Amino acid sequence: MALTFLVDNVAMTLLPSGVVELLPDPEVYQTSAGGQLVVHNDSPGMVEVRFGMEASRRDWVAELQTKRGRALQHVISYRNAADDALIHRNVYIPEVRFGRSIPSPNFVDPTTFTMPIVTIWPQPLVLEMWYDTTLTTGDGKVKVTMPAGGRILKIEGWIHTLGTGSGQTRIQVSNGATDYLTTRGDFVVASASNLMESQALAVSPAPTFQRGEELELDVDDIPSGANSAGLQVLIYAALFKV
Amino acid sequence: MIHQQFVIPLELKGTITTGDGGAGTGKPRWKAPYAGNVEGLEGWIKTLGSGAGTSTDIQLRNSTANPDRDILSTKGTFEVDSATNLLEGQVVDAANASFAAGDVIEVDVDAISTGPADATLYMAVGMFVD
Repeated sequence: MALTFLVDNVAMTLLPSGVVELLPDPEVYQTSAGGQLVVHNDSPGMVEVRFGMEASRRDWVAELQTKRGRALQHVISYRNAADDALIHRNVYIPEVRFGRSIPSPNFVDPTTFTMPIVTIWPQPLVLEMWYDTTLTTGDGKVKVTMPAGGRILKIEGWIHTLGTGSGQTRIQVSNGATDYLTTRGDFVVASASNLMESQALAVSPAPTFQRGEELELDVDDIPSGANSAGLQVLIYAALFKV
Repeated sequence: MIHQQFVIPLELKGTITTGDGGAGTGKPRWKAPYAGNVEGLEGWIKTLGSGAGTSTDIQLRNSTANPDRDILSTKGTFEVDSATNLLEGQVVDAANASFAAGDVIEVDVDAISTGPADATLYMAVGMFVD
């Protein structure tokens, strides 16, 4: 296995000597028809990460501690056993300290950390709002009913045809009552990217939504040529469990 | 920080023409909100077009990287005689799959049948969300 180990997408200089995934075994039950019923454990498992060598310097402790900081939850990344892919795991990294006398000051024994894999909630996802034809101003051009409550993380967008004349296609995302962008997103006619610009997501009140609420795409302005078309707005959101 | 998979739709609207993606080309562009990796690409096309033995060939390219990086080691194809209208054969090049927050990924169309139109690509990405 190639030596690669990252914490929060930043490579560690002092690498662990081993990484082992401990995934729960499924339970298999015999059924009356001679078949079997396989039940997969809900626990997402753990990752064992072994640092250090006999009588090695303690430097890796400081590096891991710096990368961990005061946060428990992190992403660790390492090569799989076949060495053909990078695995990313959301885990809890335990706090690490070194002793002062065994086997001698400033030295550590090889140490294995058990890092529980975390199932992430709220669950992030991306929603597409796609308006295929020529744009006109108006509210609710595209609507999405939210399957669970949640919070918007980012709003980005792309437009197929910028349109001509002066001005821009200007959009807002709302729940029908509250606007989520304090500064609306623009696709100016002279854009060099066809990407949404200037949008600023609301901070307070937080850009949240409830289960069953409709998010809608409002088109507040179009270029003077009235011929912008093919609008894609991507909403990155975190969904709660209900 | 967490790592999370997302599926990003990329819309090839109307008649599809050959050429690299980019602003003003009508081909979709995606700006990465977080750093991450492209993990896969799937796609469906409404109109395959015509022309025996031809195909519409799709490449993904990180246009912010310097120099530009092709993300697929093997392009995806919409074969003109496809029975499914699905993208086939595409392979992600793991060495070129990473992107930084703010990078723009573009869709290049390297070949076409006669008159292909209206495809949606689904790009699977894993991102480091903070």
